[in-house]
Amino acid sequence: MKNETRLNPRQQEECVPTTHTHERTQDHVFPTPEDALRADRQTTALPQELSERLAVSLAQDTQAPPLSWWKRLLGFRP
Amino acid sequence: MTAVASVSETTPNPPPGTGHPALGSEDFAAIYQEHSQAIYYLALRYLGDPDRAQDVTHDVFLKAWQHQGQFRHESGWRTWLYRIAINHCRNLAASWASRNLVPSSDDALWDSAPSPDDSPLRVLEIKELGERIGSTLSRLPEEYRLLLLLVADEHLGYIEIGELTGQSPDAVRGKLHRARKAFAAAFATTA
Repeated sequence: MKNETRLNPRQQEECVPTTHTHERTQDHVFPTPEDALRADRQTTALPQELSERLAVSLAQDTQAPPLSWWKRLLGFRP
Repeated sequence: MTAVASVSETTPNPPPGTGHPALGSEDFAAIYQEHSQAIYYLALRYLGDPDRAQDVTHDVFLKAWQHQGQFRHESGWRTWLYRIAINHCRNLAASWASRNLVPSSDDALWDSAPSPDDSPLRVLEIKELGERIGSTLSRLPEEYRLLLLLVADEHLGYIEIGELTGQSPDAVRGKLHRARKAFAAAFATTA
């Protein structure tokens, strides 16, 4: 039972010096699976190349607008 | 912006007989900006493969653009995009299953598991969350995995989830309880 004496997250924040925070463990608690999934979704980045790929496909499909237009609209940043 | 006006004027007309005006490129881009992350996340955690998730997301939005006339406006864009994504993911998963050994999808296994579902889920570092969730979901039956991913989207209610998964809202509620229990049991083993 390795967690028996663990401080709660607030206590840990108060006790741990800022410069050493990265060396300490700190629980992140999710009451339900959905909460964990939402947190995971928020920290999951959309691949940047996706918008470029889609822009290329859309430009090929529609002929107009041009590729550069689609790239800008979809948020592609080279 | 002259460029905006000229591009908007070249937006294709709606396909004959669709009854709805076609989206302009700017409107479509706004839909992409709003929903692409959710679609990518669903595909990523459903399939467990970033490259295939990216392929799915690309294909979903390309198909949405090409077939926007089929969007009936009875549901939101989010729901329609999810529908396309789920079909795509299921097709991919089915083709993999025919070639590879897949994890157990025996519901009874999870229903008989110890029930830690009243305990909160804990992770020590947020950076490990994705890995543990991916591992957890890969062990769940496909139905539970999809249900949890959809319920985690605040934009969807039980009615929409029922429509997307082909069951009643009450059935969604019932299975969700078992899905949560299965998730919690599997998550505990990933620590």
